[in-house]
Amino acid sequence: MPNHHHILTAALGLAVCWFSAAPVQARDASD
Amino acid sequence: MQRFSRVLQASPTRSSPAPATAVVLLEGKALHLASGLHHTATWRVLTREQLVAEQRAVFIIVIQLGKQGADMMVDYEIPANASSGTLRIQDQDGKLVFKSEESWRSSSGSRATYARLYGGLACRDGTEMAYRYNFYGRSSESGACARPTFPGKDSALEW
Repeated sequence: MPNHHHILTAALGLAVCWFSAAPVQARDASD
Repeated sequence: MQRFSRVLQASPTRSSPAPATAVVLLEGKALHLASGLHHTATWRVLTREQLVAEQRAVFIIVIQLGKQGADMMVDYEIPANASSGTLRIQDQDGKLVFKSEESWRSSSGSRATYARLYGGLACRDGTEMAYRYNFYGRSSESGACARPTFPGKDSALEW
């Protein structure tokens, strides 16, 4: 299932790019 | 208040060095994908053993990757900023749109994750985890280990 695997790899890469550029927010003090 | 900085390439504290690349840890239903995923210039996929050996504090745990219709879904946890949730990636007329779904913040969940990964292990000076533990556990900016081993699940409040 190479296509499926490539899609998942792309999703992982996109997620990492998204979170690498996302703003840092103050930690929530509440649990 | 938001500061425009990078979550996965940010320092674990204000005084510690920032990682050069994002670190990804695969767990749960995403674990079986590890063998087929390769490092790139911007991210590294580490096994749990590698992550712990490097004593990384800033990383994303990917628990599940999949598709829902035409959308790609990523279930994640980022303990460094106490966030978890699902990221939906949509292709809207050729433009990728990211939507954060079911996202939540939990500092107790973050402490539990660090305790699960590092509890009882020897601390090494100057690592991301040494800075992180000192900053949140001891209110110190030092990278010198405040105690020889990290606290475990039974004493998660020390994190």
